[in-house]
Amino acid sequence: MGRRNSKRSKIELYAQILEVVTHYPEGIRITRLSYGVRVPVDRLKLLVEKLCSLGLTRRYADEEETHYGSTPKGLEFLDTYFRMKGFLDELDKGSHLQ
Amino acid sequence: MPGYEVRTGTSARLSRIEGDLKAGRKVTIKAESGGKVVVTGEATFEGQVTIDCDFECGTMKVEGLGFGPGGNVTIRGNLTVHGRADFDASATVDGTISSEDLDVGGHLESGPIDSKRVRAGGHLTVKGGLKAETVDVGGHMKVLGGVSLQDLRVGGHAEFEGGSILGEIRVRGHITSKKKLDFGQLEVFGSFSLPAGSSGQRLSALGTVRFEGDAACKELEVSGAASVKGNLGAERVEVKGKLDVSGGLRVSDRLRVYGTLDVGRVVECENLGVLGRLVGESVRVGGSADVAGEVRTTAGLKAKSVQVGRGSRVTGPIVGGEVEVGRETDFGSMWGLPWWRSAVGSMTTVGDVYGQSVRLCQRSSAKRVYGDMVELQDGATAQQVTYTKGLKLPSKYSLHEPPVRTERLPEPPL
Repeated sequence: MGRRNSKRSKIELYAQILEVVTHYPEGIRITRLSYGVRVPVDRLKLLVEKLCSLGLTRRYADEEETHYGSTPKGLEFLDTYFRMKGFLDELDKGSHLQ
Repeated sequence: MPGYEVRTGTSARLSRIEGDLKAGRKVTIKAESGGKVVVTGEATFEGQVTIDCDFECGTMKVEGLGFGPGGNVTIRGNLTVHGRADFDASATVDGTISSEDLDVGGHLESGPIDSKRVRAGGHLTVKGGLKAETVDVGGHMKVLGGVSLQDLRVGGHAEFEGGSILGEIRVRGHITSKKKLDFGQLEVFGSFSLPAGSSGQRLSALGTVRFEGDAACKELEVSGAASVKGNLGAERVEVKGKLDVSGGLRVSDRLRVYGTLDVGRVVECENLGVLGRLVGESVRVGGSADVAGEVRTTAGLKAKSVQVGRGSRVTGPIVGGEVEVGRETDFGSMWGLPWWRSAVGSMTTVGDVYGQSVRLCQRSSAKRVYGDMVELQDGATAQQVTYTKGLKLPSKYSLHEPPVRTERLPEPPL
């Protein structure tokens, strides 16, 4: 798998984390999430904690391990982010015509 | 249960294991004979594993070691898992994958896949066809062959060679299908590009939609911009942004234009509502046409009944049974659009009008009016009025030529 051409912005990273988390309605462990978003576990933990503190993801732990899941607020963020991105991509395309 | 264990950091030559296989990290599995290893039970790997042959097992589990190249699964052959394959890792499979439930936490790159369910947390790249009931991909999906799916959910972009996705399709980024696609309910936030002959049940797009040839879609909702290089057939069309159709547009039920619709040839529909702008060679409506914006045609607009709201403009002839021009109507309430406010002025302008019953309301202006019954209200203007049965004129009106009563009206252009 090749390297990405450009560095992801922090907001893109947050969106990707949320996107992967929403594909696991039963909850996802940090190890698996790290593979999904391609971010080392130690760095990913800080990002996920930030999302948890904002109520965009939720953390729940049983005796053995900790899982992360999506929240309605997180889903709302994702929808808004991708809608906005859709508009911005279109506006960006239009700007090439000028 | 009898089985076999492979220790961390070692390699093993195996053939058939009756029972379970347990392996540590960084193990390599090779086939003893026949180029295939079969495990009748569960195959469990603690971390990185390289399988240098075809591999078949009941269920398969790979526990990840954390992020890094050390946690990957590499299979240099075909993978057959009769039950669930669960990888806390990224995986590369050179051959085909056949399983019941394939769940890969990271990226998955493989040959053709046939699995009831496929889920990849990262990107999914398939060098061949993809057959599944449900596919969930957190990142992008790229399939170099055709797809045969029921439901598809992709967080990023999706690219494939056509096929069929008959259930729900939800892609947050862009979708590109290089060959004809039959789709069910499609929702895309980004852009969507489809080749000629594609057809579907419902398409809702926020960004750009491009049909590269004739297309059919039962329900089409365009919030961004859409273009069709050919003819478009649909049951219902709602244009909130811009839709360009180079050929003709045939809508068997309702056509609503809140934005701009530009059609190269004929527009046909059963029920028309225009709050924005509609441009076409001609517009033929089986039922009623309500215009609260602008309609521009060269050959004309024909409907059983035509209502042109106050401040609207229709260029080209209007042909209808009942035609009313310039009445103040709250189309927003009529069509359940509480946000809608008329942005046009109070002067209503239309071209020639042909109808059994024609009414020009206040501040309306028409060119020539032909009708059995014609009524002008205060302040209405027309170049000429020709009628057969009756003419009702107010105290204030303007006719460029005196009205003419005739036995027979001229044939309408449509």
